[in-house]
Amino acid sequence: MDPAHAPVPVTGGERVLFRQLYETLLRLDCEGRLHPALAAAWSTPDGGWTWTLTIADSTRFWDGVPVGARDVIAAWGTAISAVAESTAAIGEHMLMLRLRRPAPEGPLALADPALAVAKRVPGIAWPIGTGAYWVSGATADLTAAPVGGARRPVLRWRPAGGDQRDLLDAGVDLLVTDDPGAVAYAATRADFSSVPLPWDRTYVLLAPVPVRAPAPILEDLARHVVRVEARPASPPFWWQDSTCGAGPPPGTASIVRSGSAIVFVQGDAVARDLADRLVALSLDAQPRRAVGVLPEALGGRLAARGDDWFVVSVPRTALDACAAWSPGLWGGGITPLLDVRRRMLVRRGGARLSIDWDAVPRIR
Amino acid sequence: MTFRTRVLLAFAPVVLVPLLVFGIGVRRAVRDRLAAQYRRRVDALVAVIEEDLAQRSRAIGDRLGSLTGAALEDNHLRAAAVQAVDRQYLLDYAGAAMRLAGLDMLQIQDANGRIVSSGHFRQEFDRLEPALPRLLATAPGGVALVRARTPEGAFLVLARVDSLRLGGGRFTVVGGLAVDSAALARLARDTTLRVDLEYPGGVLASRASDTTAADEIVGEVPLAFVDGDSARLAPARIVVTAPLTALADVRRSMDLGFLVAVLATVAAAMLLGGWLASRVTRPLADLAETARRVDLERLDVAFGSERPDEIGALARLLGEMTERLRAGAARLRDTERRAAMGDLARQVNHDVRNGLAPLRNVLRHLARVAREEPDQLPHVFAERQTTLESSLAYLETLATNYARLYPETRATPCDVNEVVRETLRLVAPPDGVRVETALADSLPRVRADAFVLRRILENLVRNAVEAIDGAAGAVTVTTEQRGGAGGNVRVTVADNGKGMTRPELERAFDDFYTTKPGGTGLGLSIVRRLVLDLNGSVKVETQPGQGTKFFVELPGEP
Repeated sequence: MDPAHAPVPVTGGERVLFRQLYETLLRLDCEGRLHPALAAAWSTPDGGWTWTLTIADSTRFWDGVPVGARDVIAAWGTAISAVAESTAAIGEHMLMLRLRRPAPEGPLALADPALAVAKRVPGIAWPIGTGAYWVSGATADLTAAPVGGARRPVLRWRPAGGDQRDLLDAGVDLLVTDDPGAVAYAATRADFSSVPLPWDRTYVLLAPVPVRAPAPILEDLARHVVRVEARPASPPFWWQDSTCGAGPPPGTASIVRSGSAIVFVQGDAVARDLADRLVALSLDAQPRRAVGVLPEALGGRLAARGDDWFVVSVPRTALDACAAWSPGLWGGGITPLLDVRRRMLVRRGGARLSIDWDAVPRIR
Repeated sequence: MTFRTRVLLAFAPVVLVPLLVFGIGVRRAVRDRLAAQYRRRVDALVAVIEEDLAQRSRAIGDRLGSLTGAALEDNHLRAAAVQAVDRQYLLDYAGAAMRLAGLDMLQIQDANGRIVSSGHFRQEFDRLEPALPRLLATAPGGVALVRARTPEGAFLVLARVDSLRLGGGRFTVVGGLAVDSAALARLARDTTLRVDLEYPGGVLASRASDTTAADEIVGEVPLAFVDGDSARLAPARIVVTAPLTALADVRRSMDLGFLVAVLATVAAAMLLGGWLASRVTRPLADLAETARRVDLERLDVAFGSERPDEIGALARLLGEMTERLRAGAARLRDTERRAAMGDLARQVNHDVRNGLAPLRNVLRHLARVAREEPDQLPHVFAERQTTLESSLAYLETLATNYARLYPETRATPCDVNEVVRETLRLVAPPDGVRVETALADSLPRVRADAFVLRRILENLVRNAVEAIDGAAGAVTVTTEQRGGAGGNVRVTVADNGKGMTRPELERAFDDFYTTKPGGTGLGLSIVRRLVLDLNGSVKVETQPGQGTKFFVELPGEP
C-alpha cells in the first residue's frame, strides 16, 4: 500500500483499499447500473454530450470540509481530459462537463477510480479522501476506520504473502484471490463462502498479425494450462469498438526471424503458463521461446514492434473504450485468449458487500 | 679487423655453443616430462568422467525406478491417466515428481508416444515424441544425451527411460540430469584442463577457451546422442583437453631466462675479452705510439720494458733497434758534418783564393810601379785602393758568414715568447708585409741559448718575409705547448708567400742551396743544425703559391 499512488490504485490490494477511501461522483455496479455517490443527481440536455451533476450537500472530505464543484474539478486535474472536452463549476455544488463522445446511458466514465475525489495536504501522507473510510500512517498493516464514527466495521489490511490458506486460518474475514488452493481450502471451511467475482481480466496475445486460435485450443488453455479460474475469452471486447479506431490494422506484415520470443510480464503466472503453452504449440510453426520481462520493460518491448509475441492481460471492461485504449500502444493483431476472474472468500456473518463494475468489493 | 675484435669474436662460440646445447637439452627434457604429466592427468580425468557418467546413469535409473514404483501406488494418478479424471493433476504430476526425485528432466508418455505430463516443460503435453523412449532403450548402457525443450530454450540432459503399466496401458518415463557448463566445470576441477561436450549441432564447454594453444593433449569419452530431428542415435563425445599453455609458459620463462643468461654471459665474455684484449693490446699500442715518434731526428725515445713476456721482448728489441738507429744516425750526421766541412773547406779555399787574388794582383801591380815608376806609386795606390778595400770587405764578409756556422752556445732556461718578441722588434718588414704573433700563455721554458734561438727565429722570419717577395702578405709566428705539461714547445713561422716546390723542399736544408739572388744558402742549414743542437726538430709544410710553415719543436723544461 503506497500513499503516493492514492487515489489511483496500482496493485490489487490498493484497488480494494482505495475503493473504500476515495469516492467518485457516480458508482457503477457489477451489473452496469449507475448509482449516485458524491453526486446526488445528473442530467443531460443533449442526448449524452453534456452532463450537469449536482453534488450532494452532505458530501464531506475526511476532515469535515464540504466538497464543492471546484474541489471536484481540482481533484480530477488532467485525468478528466481523457473523457471530457471541458468542465465548469456552475455553482457551489453543481458542475457541468462536455464529453468527448456522447454517453446517453449516463456518464459512466465518472465511476472510474482515476476520477476519485481527494485533496493532498502538505505533511500528510495520504490524500484527504471522500470515501466512507479514512486511513492514516503508512505501515504494512493498515487500519481503516469509518469516517465520523459511522456504524461500520473497522478494516484491518494484511499483506497476502506466502500461503493464502494461512490467512484464512489467521482470521481474515475477506480474501480476494485467484489461488485455487485457497479457494479449495475455503470450500472445506463451513465458516467461509466463496463468491465468484465478475470476469475482470482478459489475456490476449499481441502479435504482428492476428494469430488463429481455434476454440479447442482456447478451451485447452482455460482448462489445463492456467491454474486459475478461466474461460475462453468471450466477446464482445471493448477494444474492438470501431468508433475509437482502436484494434489491429488489417494486413500487417510479419517478418518472423529465428529466435523470436513470446514475452510475458514476470510475476504473472497466468501469462507465463500461456506463453509456455504457446511455445509448445508452435502456432506459427516458428521456434519461439518464452521470455519474462519486468513490468516496466514491457512498454519498451512493445514499442520495439519486432517479431515478438506478447501475452498480456487487459481489463475485461472499460468505462470509455476510446479513453482506455492508448493510441499507438499496439498496431498489430490482438488475439483474445482467456477471461479470468478471482473469487471473494468471505467469512459468513461478516460485513455486507457489494461488487463494483470492475469486480472490486465495496464495504456497505 | 683489430686484435681486440678477433679476441671478442673468438669468445662468442666458446661461450655460446655450450650454453645453447645446454639450453636446448633442458628445454626438450622439460617438454617431454610436462607432456607426460599432462597425459597422465588427462587419462585420469577421462577415467573419472567415465565413472561419473556411470554413477549418474545408475542414479537416474534408481530414481526413475523409485518414481515408477510410487506412480503405481498413486490411485489419483491412475484415475487421471486411465479415466481422464482431473487432468490438472496428471499435468502437474511430472513436475512434482521431478522435483522430489531430484531430476532436471522428466517426461511421461503414453503408449502412443504422446506426452501426458512433463516436469521440465509442463505445457508441452499432448506433443508426440515416440522416438525418444525407443532410442533411449537402444542406447549403449541405456543412457544417452537428450536435448530437452523448455519454454526458455533447450538444454542437454543425460537421460534414461523406464516404464510402467497403469490400467492395462503402458507408459514410458524418461528422466535425466542436466549437463551444462557448470556440470562440466565440476568434472574438470583442475582448471588447467578443459572439458567439452561435442554433440551434433553444438559444443558445450566447461569454460571459455581463453587461449589457442598450439599443442594440446586430448582424451575423450564417447556418448550416444538422441537426435530428435532425424529420430536416430548419433555419436557425441566428452573431450578432455589439456592445452599445453602451461608448457608454453614454462618454455617462455625458460626462453626468457635462457636469453637473459646468454646476454649476461655474452656481456661478461665481452667484458672479460675486452679486458684481456686490452691487457694484450695496450702495451702493443704503446709500443706503436712510441715507434711512431721515432725518426732520424728523434731517436731518443725509450722502449724500455721490464715485462718478461713476448711484449717485453719486443719492446727490448725495438729499444735495441732504436739504439742502433741512433748510433747509425750519429755516424750519418758525423759523415754529413765531415762532408759539409770538406765542402766548406773547399768553399773557403775557393772564396779565400777569390778574395786573395785581387789583393795579390794589386800588390804585384804596386810592387811593379814602385820598382819601375816610384813617382806614380801614390797615384796608382789611390787608384787601386778601392780594389783593396773591396777585397778586404769581401773577406770580412766571408769571415762573418762562416763565423755564423758554428756559434758557441750557452744553454739556460729560456722564455720562447720573450725571444720571439725580441726577434720581431729588430725585424723591419717591407711595406705591405705584416708580421703577427699568436703566443700561447703559460708556455714552458726551453733549455737553449737565447742567442741561438734568436738566430733560428731571425733566419726563419727573414726567409718568410723574403718568401712574400715584395707582395702584400703576412708572416705569423705562433707558439704553443705540445704534449701536456713537460711536453714540447712548438714555434710555427708561417707565411703566405710563394711556397716551395717539391724539389726545392727536398733541398731546403742543404748548405749553400738558395733560390734567392745574393743568398748564401746557409740560412736554413744553420737553422737545422742549431735546432738539432737544442735536441729539437724542424719540419716544413709548403704548398707552391700558398705559403710555407716551419715548425720548430723544442723540448720543454720539466
